[in-house]
Amino acid sequence: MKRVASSALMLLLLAFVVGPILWVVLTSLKPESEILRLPVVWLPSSISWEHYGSVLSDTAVHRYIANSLAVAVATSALATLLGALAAYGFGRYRFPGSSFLLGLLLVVHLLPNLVSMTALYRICVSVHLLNSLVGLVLVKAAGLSLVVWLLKGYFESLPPQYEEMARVDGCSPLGVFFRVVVPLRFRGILVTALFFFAQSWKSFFLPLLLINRKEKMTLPLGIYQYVGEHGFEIGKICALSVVSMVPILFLLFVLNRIGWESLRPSG
Amino acid sequence: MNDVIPAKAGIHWHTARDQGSGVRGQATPRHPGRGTATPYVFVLPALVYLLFFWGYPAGYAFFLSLTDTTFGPGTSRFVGLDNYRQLLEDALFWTSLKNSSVLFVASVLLEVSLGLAVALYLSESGKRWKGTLIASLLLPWLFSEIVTAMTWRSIFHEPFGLLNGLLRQVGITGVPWLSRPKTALAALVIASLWQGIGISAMVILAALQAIPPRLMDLASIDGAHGWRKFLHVVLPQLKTVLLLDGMLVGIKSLGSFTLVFALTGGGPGHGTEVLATHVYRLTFSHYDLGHASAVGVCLAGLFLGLVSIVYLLQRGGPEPARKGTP
Repeated sequence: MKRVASSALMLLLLAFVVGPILWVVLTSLKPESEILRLPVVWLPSSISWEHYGSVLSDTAVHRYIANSLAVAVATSALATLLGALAAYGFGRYRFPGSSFLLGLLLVVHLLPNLVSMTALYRICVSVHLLNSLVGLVLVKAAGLSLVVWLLKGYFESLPPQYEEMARVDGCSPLGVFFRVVVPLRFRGILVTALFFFAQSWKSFFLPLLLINRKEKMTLPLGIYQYVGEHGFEIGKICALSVVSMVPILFLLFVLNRIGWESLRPSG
Repeated sequence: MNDVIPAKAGIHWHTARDQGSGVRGQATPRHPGRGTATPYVFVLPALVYLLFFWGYPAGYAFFLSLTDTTFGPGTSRFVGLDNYRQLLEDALFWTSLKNSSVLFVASVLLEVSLGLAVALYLSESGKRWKGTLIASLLLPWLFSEIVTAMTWRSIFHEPFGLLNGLLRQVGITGVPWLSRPKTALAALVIASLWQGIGISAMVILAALQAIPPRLMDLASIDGAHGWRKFLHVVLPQLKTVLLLDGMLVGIKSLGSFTLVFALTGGGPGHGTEVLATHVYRLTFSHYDLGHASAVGVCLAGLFLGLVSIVYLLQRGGPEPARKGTP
């Protein structure tokens, strides 16, 4: 009896979580006339690609997608490089102030740059980084403290013998890192980079703050454009939302193949 | 936005340091002449980067909050704590503080308790659907917050939304969800729960699975079952992670900008204005950078307060059993 009750509860919860996603997908496939009809049409009478067609043939949308991709790749590469170096430094060496700095990095990570948005905007205006994808990448990559915390334990768990052997052979510390540690820990670094890619792909607030020209907008901002212009265009918004989910689902698939487990410190 | 990682980071916070120090001890072969400069080669680039792109804006925000700066050419005078004094008279500041608090309390309570329920359910038995269940619950968290906002906007839409469509079938006509302050605030809580429940459950599930089975067996031998076992054995073990999870949910809800901005726009009127959207409005509609920064500094204070309280609480609590069982 108790089992049945708890299973029913879980089913309800599942409906609550999955239902809205289904609703969005179904709405994106309805012809416009069925979206704006009462009583509400649950299943489209026939699958209509009109919203996808109009959204995906829009050159502005091509721009949004290209910008999003470029920003996400650059941000992820920059943050992973700097973050992985620091993670190795913190993971392998103990130096004056290292635990204080690590704590500071955690605070930096937990405090969103939301709180300093006014200052951030003004600085970007004064150094001409407004409406610049480079500016967006530079500011967004400041989330690298996340990378440090993700990779630190992962580097710590690497048996130090490899590095010592390389050192004995005369490798410099940076050489040891790039030639020994990175190849041995490549999976975890890749997972972290993909994770950061997704973070950047999703982000709405920083692009909203730093970009207002249409040709520089990223996809999340692009979705929001359909809210204002001609009222709330549900069909197009849903279609574009589904489009923005695709890379995330693809990443999920890739990560599943690589294995989340590779980030476990004990790995 | 990025809530899973601090969870991990938080867990590392008190385990990895102890666990790693041994490894680190052997792994610091000091070479003569290369000595102490080496770690800085690795950590300095990131630190300098953060100083520029995080520290400088933060410091500048604090500085702005002490001036009467506006956009465009004009004077920017130092006005001391005037902006903070003004906050006391800013009715909208108090409205948004109130709304942020409501969102905070409701989200923390709902997401932690439901997350715990889901985690307990998932840990109970090896179900065939477990993987699918986890993946589905996590989906909303993987999508952009703008997608969350748009999804729920289309659900709460009057008259064409999903919810009113369902309600009409049972005879309730058109509730204008997003045009009444109370229901709009509830809509924000629901959308935020939708997005956060999966990750909250995952964080708790990870800790649940780390409880040594021996402890559970001992409890059973001692005659603790069902509810009592949960209350006296499982719950104390979960104290730290529940606290952490609560902190993460709290941080997310205090910093929720996108959801509010795109789902309700702070409306109707200013009925769902929160601190984050208030800062945005003060900056871009009122051009009152000093005042906006002061609100931002207060928001930062709330974040830091929350983190320190959680830190102190978890340090004062009992040690997790994990440490005792290598």
